[in-house]
Amino acid sequence: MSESIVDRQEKIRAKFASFTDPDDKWKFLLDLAREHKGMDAALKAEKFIIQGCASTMYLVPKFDGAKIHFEMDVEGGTTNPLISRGLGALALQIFNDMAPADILSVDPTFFQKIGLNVGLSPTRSNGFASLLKQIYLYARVFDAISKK
Amino acid sequence: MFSFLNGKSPFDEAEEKLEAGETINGRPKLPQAPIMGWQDGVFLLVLVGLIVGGYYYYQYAKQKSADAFAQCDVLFVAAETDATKYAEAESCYNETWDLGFVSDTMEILRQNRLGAIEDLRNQQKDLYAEAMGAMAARDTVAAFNVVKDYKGPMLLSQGDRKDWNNIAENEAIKASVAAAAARADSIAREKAIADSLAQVAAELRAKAVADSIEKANKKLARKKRKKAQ
Repeated sequence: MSESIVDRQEKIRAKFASFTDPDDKWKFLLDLAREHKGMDAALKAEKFIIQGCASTMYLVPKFDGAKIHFEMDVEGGTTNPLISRGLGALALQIFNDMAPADILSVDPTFFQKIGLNVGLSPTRSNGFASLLKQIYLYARVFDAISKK
Repeated sequence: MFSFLNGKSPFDEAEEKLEAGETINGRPKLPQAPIMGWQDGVFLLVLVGLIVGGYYYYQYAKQKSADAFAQCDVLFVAAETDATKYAEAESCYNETWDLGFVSDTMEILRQNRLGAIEDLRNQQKDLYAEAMGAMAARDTVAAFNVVKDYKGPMLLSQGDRKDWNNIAENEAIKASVAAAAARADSIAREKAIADSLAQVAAELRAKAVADSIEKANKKLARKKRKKAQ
């Protein structure tokens, strides 16, 4: 049986609760970023760029009628925006391959409550908020489609 | 395949020698094979060279990274008191992307500091947008004030920086700001004069009232004295 979205949240919450050093959170995000596979360059279209992110973040949704699969990648020009990519990968750890209704059931302040925003620069906080907004938007649209 | 025996088994050689009648106490004389052939020696030397070279290269790369990050750290810390150093610190950190060795601690520092500089840039970009909006609305004074009041580092891109400097240094804008200031000054002066005139008038009015009360009181006193007589 596949993991529920509540289980996924609980796992992330436990992970954040286990951090004892302020750098632990950053190391965790760096690891997520390094483990995250990019996406096919052909998918990187302008319409999939998340507005409000300092780096160029692509989020491509695929809906199979039941679940939404997301592909995500971040480009930073000459830089390597590992924290932004890590944040994107963290969001996908909860929302990827979930039903639209499940995605919409997640409290939008979940990440704030587990302390993700602490020490996060305003630009990255805003970018992450834009990413979540876009995920919820796709979920609402696909939820409406699946109910038709 | 790698072999220390040059492809020949010592037993094969012993057999050959036994056949040739070379024996010691009835047993075949064991071959005096070298420990390794010259190719094997070369291979081992290359291997050792690679290990030692790799170790020294790793140490060199580590030291190079430590030096580069230390240099960027100095610039970033200096920027906290001298904002102009932020741009230098940013380009210093951007030059570290090509380094061969970057530890997690260095990576976290680099990401967070570049993020902090990006925040500063975004703040200035917001002000730039505000100034350009004021310029579009032909409110050059407001645009000038936005630019003038900004005390942070210059982190705008080349094109935006040109617009920003144009607002800050344009003589026509400066003249209109000065004229607006002069207007505000003269309005303030006129208001001050009007205020002081009003004050004088109020004082005169108060004095007149006081005088008339005093007069009435004196009159009353005179009447009382006459009645008493």
